[in-house]
Amino acid sequence: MQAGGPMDKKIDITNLVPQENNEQKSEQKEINYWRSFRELHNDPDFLKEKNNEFKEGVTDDFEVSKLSVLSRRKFLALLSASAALAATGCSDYKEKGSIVPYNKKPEEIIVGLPNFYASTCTSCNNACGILVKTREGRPIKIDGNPDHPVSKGKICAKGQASILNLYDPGRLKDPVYSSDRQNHRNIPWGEVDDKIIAELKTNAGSGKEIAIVTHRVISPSYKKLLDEFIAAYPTTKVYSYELFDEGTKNSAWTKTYGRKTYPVVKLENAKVILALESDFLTYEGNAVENMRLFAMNRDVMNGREFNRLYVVEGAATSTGFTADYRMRLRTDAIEEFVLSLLNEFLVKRRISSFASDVRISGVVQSFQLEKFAKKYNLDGKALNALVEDLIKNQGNSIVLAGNKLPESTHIAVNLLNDVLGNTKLYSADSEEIELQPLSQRNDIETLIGSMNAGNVGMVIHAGTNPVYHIAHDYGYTDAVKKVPTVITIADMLNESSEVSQYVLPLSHILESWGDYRTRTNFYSLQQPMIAPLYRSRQKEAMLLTWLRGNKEAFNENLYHEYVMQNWEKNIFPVLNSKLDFKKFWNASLHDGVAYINEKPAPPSTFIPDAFAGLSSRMTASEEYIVLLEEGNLGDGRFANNGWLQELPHPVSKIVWDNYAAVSVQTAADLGVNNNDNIEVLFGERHLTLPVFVQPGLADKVVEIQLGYGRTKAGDVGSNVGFNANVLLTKHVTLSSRFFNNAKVSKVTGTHELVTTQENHAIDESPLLKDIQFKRGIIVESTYNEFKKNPALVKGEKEKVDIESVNREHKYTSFKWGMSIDLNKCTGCSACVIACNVENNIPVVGKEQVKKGREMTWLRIDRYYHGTPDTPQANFQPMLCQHCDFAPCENVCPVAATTHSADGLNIMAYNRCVGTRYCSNNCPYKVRRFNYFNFRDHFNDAYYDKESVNLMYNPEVTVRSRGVMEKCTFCVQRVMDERQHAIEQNRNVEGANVTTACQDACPSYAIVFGNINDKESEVYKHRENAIGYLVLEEIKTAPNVTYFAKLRNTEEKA
Amino acid sequence: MKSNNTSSTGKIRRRNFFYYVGASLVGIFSISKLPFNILQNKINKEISATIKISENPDAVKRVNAGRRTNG
Repeated sequence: MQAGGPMDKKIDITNLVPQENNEQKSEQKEINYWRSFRELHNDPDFLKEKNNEFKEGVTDDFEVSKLSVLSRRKFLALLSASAALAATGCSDYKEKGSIVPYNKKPEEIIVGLPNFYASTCTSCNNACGILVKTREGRPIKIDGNPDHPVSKGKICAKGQASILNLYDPGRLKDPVYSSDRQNHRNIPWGEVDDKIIAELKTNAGSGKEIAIVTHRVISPSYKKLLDEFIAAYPTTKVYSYELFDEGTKNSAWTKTYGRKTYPVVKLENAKVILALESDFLTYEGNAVENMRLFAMNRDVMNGREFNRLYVVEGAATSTGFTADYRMRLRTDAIEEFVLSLLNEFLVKRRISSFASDVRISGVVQSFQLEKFAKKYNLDGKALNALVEDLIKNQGNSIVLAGNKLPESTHIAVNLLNDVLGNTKLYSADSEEIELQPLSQRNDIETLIGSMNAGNVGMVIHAGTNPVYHIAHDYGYTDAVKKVPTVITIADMLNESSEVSQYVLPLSHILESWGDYRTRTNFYSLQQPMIAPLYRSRQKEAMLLTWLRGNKEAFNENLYHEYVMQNWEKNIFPVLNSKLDFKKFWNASLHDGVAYINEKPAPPSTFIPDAFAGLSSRMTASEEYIVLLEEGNLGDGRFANNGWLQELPHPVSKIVWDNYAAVSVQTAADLGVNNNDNIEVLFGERHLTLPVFVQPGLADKVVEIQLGYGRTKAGDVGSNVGFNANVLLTKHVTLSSRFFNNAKVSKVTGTHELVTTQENHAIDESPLLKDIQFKRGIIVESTYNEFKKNPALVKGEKEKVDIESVNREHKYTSFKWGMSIDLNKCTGCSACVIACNVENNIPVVGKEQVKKGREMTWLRIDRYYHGTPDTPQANFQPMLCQHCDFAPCENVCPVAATTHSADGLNIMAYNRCVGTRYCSNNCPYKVRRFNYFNFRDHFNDAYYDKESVNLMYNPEVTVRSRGVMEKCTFCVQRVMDERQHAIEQNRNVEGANVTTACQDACPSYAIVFGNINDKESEVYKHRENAIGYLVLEEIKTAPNVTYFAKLRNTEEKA
Repeated sequence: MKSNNTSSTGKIRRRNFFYYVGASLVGIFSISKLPFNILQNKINKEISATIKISENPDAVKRVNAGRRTNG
């Protein structure tokens, strides 16, 4: 019998549709935390499930009546005979070979010690600096480069997970060719080069276009290479595109200030931030930098005044739930909101010289904030607070508009920032750089027209997948089939390879050279730490070989030499370095960055006509809005990455799928519930996908993630989710990923979505029923309460005096502990992926996640409170608490889990016999059991292949079936420090040990160290008045301290 | 009175039991030791790595990379 998931249970939507008296309920003092609608309404089935250790159906396979009737005597006889046979057979079963030291040891490698290399991550266009850890020559971990001036040692979840793409068994290993574009066969590189060079010469000679389709060009050397390619083959044209780009924001900036790119915002100086449909803390802009700068003013330890975040959005984002004030508003009403604010500031309060500019005041005259608030039922208190805050903090606030908003809204927001004097927050020292503008709609249309007319002789997809990405109504797929020669350069077969004769294997970023320039003042360098695992090449090396017109031109160092020469001739001379070039080059590779002294052009002034002269502005419609968002898979390039597929969405916690998120009211109007299919229709474009009822979403807004539904993405990623790219269109009215003219209707059929939001619940106790509301799993208060009296933040909790069964143990030397600041955590989940990589955590697949068997040691619990329409949410990373009186240790029958002298709860995997009693007893539900050898079990042992074995961290045991595992506080790193301390004849320094999650967190929310060291950060965190322990009253004495969440609101807690 | 007639109860006679054990051991020994190395060779071939890792000699590694990235 299939185990039913929580999503199968239908929610009674009618009960959740807001009624008038619900608002009264929301004003009750007692905060009731809930994680899903079933919990909110105390669904009896849900309560029954919560009391069970295991989900319904998982133990159904065990039926006593079906057991064998073999007698005990015969059974023992057979058993002993089998054991004797097995024992004898095992002696030579698999010759594992000998472990021998290197015969000829490479100079760089000391066996057992890691090496680190600086490089650059190009999983997106932010080009964050990375530090890659290698063992015996194999990259095993990617972290941020602390020397990088923007990312400063942090990267996002995608960057962390990208190491799995290097070892993906589905990677193309050799070039393949097929004349009919269907059945590709291997072809040697020499033959590829010869044929392509000949065709390039022919096309250039005959005047046929050679189209190179690439992603955004952010590399100066790559740009130079493309220019040289065009010079060598003059009919070449370069087209660049991105699925997620800031084109609208930049074009608005150009119109309002005459400058090419949006400025760098000094978020760390912003006292008030208003984010309009901008998920800047998760996916937009450089989210890693944004999180760091935002969190600097969310730190109770550094004495800085908290900033205040207002979010106005139609979607339900983790930025929205991190906000102090969140207002939900239809996305197409946001421009009217901005204009109403402008009216308030210019016409009513006259705070800017633009007030007397009739071109502007004339436009905003007719907009009234009060009327607007009434029309859209906005929270009056929050709105008043926003207006007063913006007035009070002129010059110290910033209004951010999301990338999906149309150009007219961005222009209005630019004006608003100017009116408020917020231009002070635009950095004068640094600005974004655009090496080459992206192609516009007419460029793509021109290309397609040329293809259809037979004027294009060759198309090269240089690391791109335009068949999947480009809007279908361009007709790209049909047009490219008419091109005689199509080359796709990709890491694995994809949708574009199906229309290509040549599919050439692309090297991973860890196998590639490169240089990147995204901002003024520095270059970011990329170096390969290993030779390509297979017969792949960098796209730049391929183009360079073809450019040189001879297959013999290729060698392994071709592009390396090209980059070096470019630097030596063109870049090094302007850097004014005192070193000779070789030393400079090596130093730059060592650091990963090279600095250049340059000052951006001085700021310009706002051009009023850009605002006043707008021919059209966004107005709210009555139709459905569709927002196409970025998710864990990016633009789809990570579809075959199991870790990212299995990473729960920060808000919905859904895995292995995308979905149409709708509000409670919208679900009621459509008559749908979770898993029911709906059809989203724009004229001829339509998509059928399942619904997820998302608290906090605005009504008549449908939020869908892109990057899913790929048909050719490897064994893991193919046919997972629904391809929302079919909704993209070339006829953009608002913006490329935002539509407000959709028709949405229920259709037959369902699709099961799997969510982790109800897995591993820790807030139910069968023995003390009411205590779950008083357990203080989340402690929340206001910043004002904290300032008045920090001790009051935790409030007076009802004391439940339970006598401990354990004797207290004093840790006289080291005691490891952790602190997690809930004020800084945005739920981005970079820590989860970092933990997965560091600790060799397997992917289990959708079916197993449905049964609650996901293996991630660290999870981010998301708790709502408030009403389903306007909830607030808290994100809480939950991991093994390494309790002093761990309930799991007492119950293990074989003492497989014990306590170390330095306070760690440790697992001996080879003792564990899999009774799972420890997991049963753990109140935090942080233990994970290997029900299968998941490497073998998932997708026909996809992750049990040779290449994936190379990725494993050799410092961490790879667990097999039948063994319990959990967070170890990165004990391998503790042991590493201990080893170094012994070698160097010194004491162990707590500050030298950082856990993987701590290293990864972009907001610095996680602190780890020796809590017996009174000088350590973690000790100070533990002693802070707002630090609390989860489930403290049950006397487990956990060693993870959480900082209470402080909302910076005017209301009392 | 005890009976040695085991045919109806399914028990093995002690003598026969030891004959069976001895014969099994001989059989197992012969399977593992005699010329069945052909199978061993096949297994060995499968295990040998097809992916060769080689470091990039031009990459510059970090010195003193025991870094803290916490603030």
